[in-house]
Amino acid sequence: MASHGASTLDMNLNPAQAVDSLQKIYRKYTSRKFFAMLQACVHCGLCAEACHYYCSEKKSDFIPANRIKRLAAVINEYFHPLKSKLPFFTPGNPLTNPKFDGLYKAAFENCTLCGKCALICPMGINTGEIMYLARALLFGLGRIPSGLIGPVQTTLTTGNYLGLSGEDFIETVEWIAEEMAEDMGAGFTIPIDKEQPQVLYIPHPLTLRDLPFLLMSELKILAAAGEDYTLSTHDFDVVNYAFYQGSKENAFQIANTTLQAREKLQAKSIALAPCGHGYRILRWEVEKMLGEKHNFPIYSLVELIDRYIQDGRLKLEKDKFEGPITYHDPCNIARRGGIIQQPRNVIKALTSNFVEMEPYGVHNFCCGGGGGLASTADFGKIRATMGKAKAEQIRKTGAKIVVTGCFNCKTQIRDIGQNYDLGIEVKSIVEVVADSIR
Amino acid sequence: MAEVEFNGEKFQIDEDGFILDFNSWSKNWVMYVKEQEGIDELNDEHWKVINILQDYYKKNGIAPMVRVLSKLTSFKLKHIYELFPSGPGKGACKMAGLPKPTGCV
Repeated sequence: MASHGASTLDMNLNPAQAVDSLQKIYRKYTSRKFFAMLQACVHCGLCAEACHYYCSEKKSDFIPANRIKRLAAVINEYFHPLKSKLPFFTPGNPLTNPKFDGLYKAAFENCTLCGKCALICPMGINTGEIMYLARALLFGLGRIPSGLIGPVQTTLTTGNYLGLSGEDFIETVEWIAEEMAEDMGAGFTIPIDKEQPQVLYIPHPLTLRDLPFLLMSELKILAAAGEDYTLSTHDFDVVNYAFYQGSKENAFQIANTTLQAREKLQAKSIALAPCGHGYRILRWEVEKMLGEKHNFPIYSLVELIDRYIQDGRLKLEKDKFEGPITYHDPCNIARRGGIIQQPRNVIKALTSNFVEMEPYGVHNFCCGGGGGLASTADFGKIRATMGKAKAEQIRKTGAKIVVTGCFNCKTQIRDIGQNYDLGIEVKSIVEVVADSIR
Repeated sequence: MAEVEFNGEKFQIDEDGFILDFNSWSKNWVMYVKEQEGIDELNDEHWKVINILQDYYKKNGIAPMVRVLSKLTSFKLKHIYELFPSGPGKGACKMAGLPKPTGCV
């Protein structure tokens, strides 16, 4: 098991300040509806079968209802509506209270916030939201995994989680254009900071630093479809790990960079590189934080690709890849974002040998790398163990290629492919599309 | 903390199989990763990449961006992938004894 001490965000709180910090967060995130949900569990156990942790290893700690109990125990101690009014009642020191050790494990290590159990619950308990509160409370105490601290601090200070400079960005894009000119023809350029484009495209910084092949695939698709797009020096990072820390303030601040970049360039829409949480936060969570709808569209690139194919702007050659090919629905794209049909349209346009996993779509199992787990080195072992449910799903399809539309999922499925000897190749949807362009 | 042994030499590795201490890097580590990566024979070009990665890391404390690696080695991107099929991060950096790059590599 991974280490789970990880109180690395040094906040220098004294016990009274810690209680105060918890109370502020609790008041901010909860409502009566929320409190009712915490009481409503009838212990039917249906959520157990929905959780990829429990399906991978049948331990009672992995039943979503039991994870929620750990939060309920903390809430009862610190926020009980009656107890808290008693003058002689003082809650324990949250900095040393072992209840928070259990909560830390439940919220950061044993849950990817995938939200599948919430769909199953007959009592309508939104377990995903509840476990988010657990992360938010722990954030208030500074107890978050070390792997989620550095990248967020780097984002808040440099604008992207890898700390790339504007110069790095421009030089890399120019270099990529040169590398691509071999295939795309001399004179191929990649627009940067073009004003009033149809699409402001936000890439994943990892494709700038380590995986340029993926960015090349994305840009090849946009160019082939004749899209009027631009990249921007104002923002080139789709990632937003602050959300997984449990800090909606930080998450909003990071997302706001993208909104401001769009405004500066007066872009008609934003399209995001394949990244599950980045899409969910900018497209959906920010609307909730702002309390109003975006007055411009925000797309995940796969939605645009589907439209290009429907409109005849993108022509694909069929069966360049030997199947069967299956598709893994990233939780944040499918269950949280409703993008289910589009990737299937796209994949079926390039293969006649598509197979579904069971279950798929909104009920798909998390790959085991969500919630920030695949992005830090802290959770390698738990990811491998909890990827078993997904590995079995994939094995049953007999697929040779697993396509997905999220960096986290892609990394995790590649790793479980090796750990469980699945003999599969894992590809981003942009790779299979770019390589099939006629 | 996990430990692997190769040719009688022991290495401490992280959960993703990267060496924990750059200073414990040795040729045995290279041979160990080579086997894992499924590379048949290491040639001068592999060593050029490894040496350049190590020099850069010693000077800067981080791994270079792929663009910089391509420039320093004067290898085209495609060629770097031919040399290290799992890529510069997961393949070459691991072999050179650099820590795992941040992000979902």
